[in-house]
Amino acid sequence: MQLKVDVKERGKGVYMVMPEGHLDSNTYLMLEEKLNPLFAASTKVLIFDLSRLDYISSAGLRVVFKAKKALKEINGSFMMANLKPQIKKVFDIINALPDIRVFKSLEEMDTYLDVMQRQEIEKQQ
Amino acid sequence: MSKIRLQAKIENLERLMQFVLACAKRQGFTQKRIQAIELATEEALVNIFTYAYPEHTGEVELRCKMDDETRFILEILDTGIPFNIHSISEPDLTENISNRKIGGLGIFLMRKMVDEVQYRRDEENNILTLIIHKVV
Repeated sequence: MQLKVDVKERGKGVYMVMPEGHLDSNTYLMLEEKLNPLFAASTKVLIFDLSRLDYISSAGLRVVFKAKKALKEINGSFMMANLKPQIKKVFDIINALPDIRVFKSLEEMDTYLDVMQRQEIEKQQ
Repeated sequence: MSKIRLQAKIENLERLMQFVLACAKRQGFTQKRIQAIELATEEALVNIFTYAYPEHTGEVELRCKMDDETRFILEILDTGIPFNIHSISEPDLTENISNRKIGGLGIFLMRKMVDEVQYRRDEENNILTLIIHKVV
C-alpha cells in the first residue's frame, strides 16, 4: 500500500498538503517528513486536502494530531477538506472533528480563507 | 482455513495485510467491510509489533476462515508477553486532540471496526480473535 504526498503553496504562508493513497503505519513517516519543514513561523495556514486519501489508521491520525498541535504552537491554523466517507468515519469514531476545522470542498475553504484574510488586513489598518 | 506465519515486525506488515485482504476478498465482502477488516488488523498487528516481544524477536501468525458463511473470523497469534486486550481502557475522547494522549487509540479503533473481539491465553500463545459479520 502506497502513499504519495503533494505539497503546494496556495498563497503566502498557506500550504496545502495532499496525501494520496494509504496513510498507515508503513507510510506515515513519509508524510511527517514532508510536514516538518512546514512547522515554521512563516506558515499561517496548513490545509490537508484529503480528496485522494483512501485509508487512515491510528498512525496517520497521530500525524494529523501532531500537525494540528504544531500549528497551534506557531499561531497558525490547521484545516482539512474533502474527507471521503470512510476517512470521516474514522475521525468521527475518535471524536476528533469538533477540534478541527473541516470543509466539504476547496471552494468552501477558499471563501473562509478570504474572509480570514480580509479580517487580518482590517486588523492591521 | 488459510494461515501465514512471519516475524512480528513492521517490515512484514504489508505481507500480513495482503494475506488478510485476500482472505476477505475471497469471501465476497463489500469494500466498506474490507476497509474495516483492514483497519482492525493493522491496529492489532502494530500493537503486537510494538509490545509483544520487548526482549527478543518473535513471530505472529494469522489464520482466517468463514464460520457458516456469515462470520469472518481472523485469529492473530503471538507467543509474546501475555496481553489481554480487554484490560486496555478506552482513550479519553473528550479531550481536545492537541492534548490527547497517544496510547490506546489503535486498540480503540480496532474494537470499533469489528463485531466481536475475543482474547484467550493458550499455553504460550496470545490468541486474539476478530469477528466480522458479513451482513451488518
